[in-house]
Amino acid sequence: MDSLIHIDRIQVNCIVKDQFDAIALAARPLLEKGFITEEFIDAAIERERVFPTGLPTKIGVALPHTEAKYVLKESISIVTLKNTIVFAGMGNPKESIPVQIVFLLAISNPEKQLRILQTIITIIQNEKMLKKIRDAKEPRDIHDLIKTFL
Amino acid sequence: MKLVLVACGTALATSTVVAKKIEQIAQENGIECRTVQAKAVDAFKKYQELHPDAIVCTCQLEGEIDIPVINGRAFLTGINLQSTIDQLIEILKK
Repeated sequence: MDSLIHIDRIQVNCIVKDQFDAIALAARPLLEKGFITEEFIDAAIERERVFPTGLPTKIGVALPHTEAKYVLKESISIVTLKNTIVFAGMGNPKESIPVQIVFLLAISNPEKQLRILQTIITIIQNEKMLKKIRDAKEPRDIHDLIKTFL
Repeated sequence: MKLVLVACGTALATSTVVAKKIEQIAQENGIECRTVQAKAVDAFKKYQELHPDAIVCTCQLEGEIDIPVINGRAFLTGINLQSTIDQLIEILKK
């Protein structure tokens, strides 16, 4: 399994008040492990305001991330939401996209992490897979689902 | 050799995936093409410097651009992917 994704960094069925709260929640395990700087969270939230990352797939997905300088150790955090939360659309900040799955990307070397990034994109394009991730009851289920794609 | 400028907010995650897809599509269609990634804030400057054949972006761009600009979101979502690919190939084959 790609070490970027770990059950400690997968949170399922979460309740958040808005998209920024979702980013902060997703970042929490990364901060606790020392994988990101404290500034990462505000930077990711600010970036989301300016360059939103919501994608209008059948089950909406968001890919918040921020600049490499806030990443101490590369990792990916996954949060599934009990209720949909509105993110603005990638490339179209006026678009409202109901999101249920958040992949927070703490990446500093995208060329090196290309395979995992491409895997996430493959998953995003697979509606059945998104449904399974959304409906997963345990972090391990999501971990194992993604593992089948790596 | 064609040149595609690929822009996203941080030139980090999405533009890397999109750039690789574009290179792959070009290769499959026998088009010599390279990509250059740019942060959204640098995209206009790079456009002026490099004179690319097209810009593919997953963010909004500022400034007057007189070459084709393609929304690269389809490369991530798979929605309307084929029409986006067709559009890109048409531009690159010119």
